[in-house]
Amino acid sequence: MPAIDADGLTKRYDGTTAVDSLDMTVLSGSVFGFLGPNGAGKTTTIRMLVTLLRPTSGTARIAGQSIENRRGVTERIGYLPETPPLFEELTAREQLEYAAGLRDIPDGEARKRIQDLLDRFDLADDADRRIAAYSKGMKQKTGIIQAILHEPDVVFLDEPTSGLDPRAARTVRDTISELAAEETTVFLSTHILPVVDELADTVGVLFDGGLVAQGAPDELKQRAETGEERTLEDVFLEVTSREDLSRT
Amino acid sequence: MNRGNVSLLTRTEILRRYRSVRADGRKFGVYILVGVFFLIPLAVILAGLYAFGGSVAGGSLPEFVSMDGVRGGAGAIVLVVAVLNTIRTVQTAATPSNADGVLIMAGHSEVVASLLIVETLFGAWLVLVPGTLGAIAFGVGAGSVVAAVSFLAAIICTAALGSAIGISLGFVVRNALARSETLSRYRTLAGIALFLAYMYVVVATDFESAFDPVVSVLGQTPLGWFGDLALAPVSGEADLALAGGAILLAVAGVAVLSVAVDRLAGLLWYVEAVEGSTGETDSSGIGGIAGLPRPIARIVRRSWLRAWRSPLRLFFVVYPLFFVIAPISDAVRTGVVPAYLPATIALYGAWATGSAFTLNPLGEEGDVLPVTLTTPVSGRTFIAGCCLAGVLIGLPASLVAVLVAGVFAGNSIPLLAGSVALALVLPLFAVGMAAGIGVTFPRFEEVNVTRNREAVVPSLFAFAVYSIALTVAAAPGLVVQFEGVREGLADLIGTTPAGALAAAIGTTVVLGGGVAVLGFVHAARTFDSYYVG
Repeated sequence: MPAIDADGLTKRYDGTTAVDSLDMTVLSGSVFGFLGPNGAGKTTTIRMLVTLLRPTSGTARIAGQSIENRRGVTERIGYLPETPPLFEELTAREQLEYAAGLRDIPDGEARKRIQDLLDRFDLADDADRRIAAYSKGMKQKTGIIQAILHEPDVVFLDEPTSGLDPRAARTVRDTISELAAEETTVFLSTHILPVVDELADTVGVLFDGGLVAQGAPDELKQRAETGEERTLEDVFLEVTSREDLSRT
Repeated sequence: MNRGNVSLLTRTEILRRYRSVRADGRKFGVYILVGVFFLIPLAVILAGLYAFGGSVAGGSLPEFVSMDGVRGGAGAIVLVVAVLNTIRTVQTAATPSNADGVLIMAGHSEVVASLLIVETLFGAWLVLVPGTLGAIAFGVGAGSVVAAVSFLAAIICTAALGSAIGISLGFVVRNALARSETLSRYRTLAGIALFLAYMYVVVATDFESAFDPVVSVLGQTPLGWFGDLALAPVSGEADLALAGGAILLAVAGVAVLSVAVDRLAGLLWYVEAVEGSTGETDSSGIGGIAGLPRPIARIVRRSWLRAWRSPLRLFFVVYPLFFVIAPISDAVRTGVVPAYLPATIALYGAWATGSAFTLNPLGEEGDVLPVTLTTPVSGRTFIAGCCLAGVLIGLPASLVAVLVAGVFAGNSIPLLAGSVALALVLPLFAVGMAAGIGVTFPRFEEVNVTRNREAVVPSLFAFAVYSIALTVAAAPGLVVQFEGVREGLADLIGTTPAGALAAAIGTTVVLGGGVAVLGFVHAARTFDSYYVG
């Protein structure tokens, strides 16, 4: 069963089409790298998939649940928006306890999971300081822990390595790999192409609201091949070129 | 110092402020409105100065004014200007716009010079326009051009020296806050303590008698010389030498203090400020709420923690207190508590309970809203958590205050029971109403709650609708607190005054309860079906 199955997903704002008839399938337990230039409609797509934004037309199913059924979807997903969603007045531990509480995770179990994740992300020593005093990377780590704390079926990560130092970025990449190994589907939106190249089973490239390329990274590189060796960056630049798009 | 840099910094800052005000239509409108309202007291002051000028034209002061009083008044003006500038400097002015960028592109002395010029220019129209008009009124009254010029000179000197003192003190305070973890940690508490102390002076003491000694002492310092400068050409009681000294004092004071500001700014802008309020935190004492479902308990705990650690976010809750300063002040001074005060407190307590955590439940989530919406928590649970956060504190506090006021007022048992009943039910109604109104008129953008602190607070429209709805619902229970109304109602419906009291409070319960239930259900449904775009 696909973890994400979008069918004609469309979002229009006052005559502007942000996402245009998007069809997309992401298999369970896979990592989907979602690429696209700024303003391509990536965040709008994610917001529709996590039930935060109502599509103008089309629909999608997440872990078998229609996005019109918010409760059904939200029980199965985790979400890290581009800006880490945190209360600056709280400490990381309080924030995570709050998130666990909203998901009704028993206190003892929540405390253990939180501590394990704080340790894994090297945040345990700072967990009782207020988030207002955190660096950008520490906030990002807290946001990531919050997104995966309840062991969701599908996790949506919007630029998860933004602001992280190399060690923390490595931890995030390892965590994504482990999540996928445990059959969690990861929907990964990022501009850091090597991360997608390393982790993604499938890549989708969004441009001007439409999916202009989709496939395994190696397939995409082959498709774009012109005799010389191509990278994912070359593919990205090629399929998101306005001139190329106008010619097709 | 590169004068070109100073000029560029100054022009850019003025342009930035101008565009900032113009971009915010509401802020621009408020400035216009304040200006219009200012015209009325200005007209009164001008008329007073004209009359005062006429009364001193003969060379002596009128009977009700002494030269010592004028000197004390001049000193008090310097003090007030200094205090206002200290507050402004601590809150905003000591931090240049885009500080990190500006301080690596220009020398700090250039930034200080620009800052002082901008502050002077923005302060100047506040001083020069009414000051010039005031000086003209005084001069016309006194029939002397020299009197007007001298009066204007006194105004400019007091404003300049007061500003220089205030800005310097502001930088001293900011340096202390930047270096002392203890001061930084208790900064908000100190602010609240100062505010409460001020309120105590206003409410529990005679304002004039409290400040008379201060004014008297100030008049005996060189700050009092500005009084001599103001009246030197027309009053024989003014000392010409002291008037000249006042000008020298202002010039020298501004010069010396400008150098001090330059040094203090250099000390402040290149130090990494300590963060006293964000260190290790123990929250174990907050939030152990037995018996509540876990999600609700967590929402209550989160609301309390945020309020406790950032109390200025809820500063709007105290605004209505300004309307009851007079009756409370009278009650404290005279020892006589009016019979209507307990019910008034019940209304205020309910208003505060509803507005604190439930008048903008979606907006207050801020960046966390997407995550809250993508948890399985239901609207009913979420709104219940927000409501309980207010009720669990507001209801007991309101009840105690009403009981104490009722006992001191010596109200009859039925009247006391009536106000206690209001204190019990109105907070419950208030949170339901507030939630419904809050989700209908949410506000997501931050606004300045103090000059350097931004927070998401309920929208003005939500405040207005909520205040009206709660007051209308509470009205039957409130007006019946007055004996005449109670007896009139009793006659009208053919019952005893106690029966009329019960009937009126029953009406409030039905009216308020109905609206509250509707509000709660609407808020819960809105949350459940809420989309962010």
